[in-house]
Amino acid sequence: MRVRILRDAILIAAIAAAIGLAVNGIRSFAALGGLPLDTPWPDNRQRVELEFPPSYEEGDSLLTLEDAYNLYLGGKVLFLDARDPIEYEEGHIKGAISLPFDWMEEYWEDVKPLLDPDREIIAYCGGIDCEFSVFLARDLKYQGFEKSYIFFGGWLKWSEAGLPVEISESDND
Amino acid sequence: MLISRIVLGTIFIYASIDKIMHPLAFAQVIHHYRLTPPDLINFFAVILPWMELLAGLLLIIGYRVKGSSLLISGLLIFFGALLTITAIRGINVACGCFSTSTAVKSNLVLRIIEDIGMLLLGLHILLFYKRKSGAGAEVGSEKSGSGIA
Repeated sequence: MRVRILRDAILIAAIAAAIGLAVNGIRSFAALGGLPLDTPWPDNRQRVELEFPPSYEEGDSLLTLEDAYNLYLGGKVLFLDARDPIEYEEGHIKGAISLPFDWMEEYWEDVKPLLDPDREIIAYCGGIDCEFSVFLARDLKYQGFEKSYIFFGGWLKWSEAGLPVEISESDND
Repeated sequence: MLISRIVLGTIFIYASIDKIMHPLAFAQVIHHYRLTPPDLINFFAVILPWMELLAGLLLIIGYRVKGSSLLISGLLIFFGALLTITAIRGINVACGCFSTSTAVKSNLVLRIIEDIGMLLLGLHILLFYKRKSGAGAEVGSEKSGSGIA
């Protein structure tokens, strides 16, 4: 009897698989959302190197370069540049907003309306010698923006990878 | 037992519908787990939801109940293992990020608990369900029935 149960289970699985493949085949043929079975996805299985900031604490949400870029492609994330305004002007991640950690109070009023607790926020700083991204993200989480992420060493990694950046036009020119 | 079958069957049917209607989105979710070989992701995205649907239907109808519950239990053990590995690795599956966010871990723990709950239902049905009638329903009854006449 146990063999029969196993046989039934395998049979059900096989029949379901066959139905699924058949439906997918029809959808592919009719251009109705079928998945191409011979097209692989990018291989993302390796454990990616994640650098931990010296003052890392449990609760900090760290991102790799790949994570940050994936979120960037999603189009919904907000990058916050925690460096000095001059560094920001010389080059920042495309679409990022300047929120210098050393001048938080001055910038906060203008930046806060752009923030949304439901929106992913990525704080980044220069290289791995700068931990402003860590402190900024913690501040944001403390204020209720739960989806605040730390892109440690962000600017250096992003720019070295040749990912989209922009330069601010100086108002003085 | 009827309630268990209906509850579990309904959950599985409900879970399968969205995945059948949006296979690409489901494949993306599988991709975010960073566990499946890349050339098998679409294949699993196509066949898994139909297994859920068919097993759930059979469970409710009451046909091949033990086989369905074995398949469902197997799927749940498989999903549970995936969730556990993902939780340990600290991957935020929803956004595909590799993040050590503690907020993410609590979501996964919830999913794992739900999974175990369903698995207990599935195993309960697998172990204790008895078919009501029909030839060979009781072990060893085939021979004894002929002695009545």
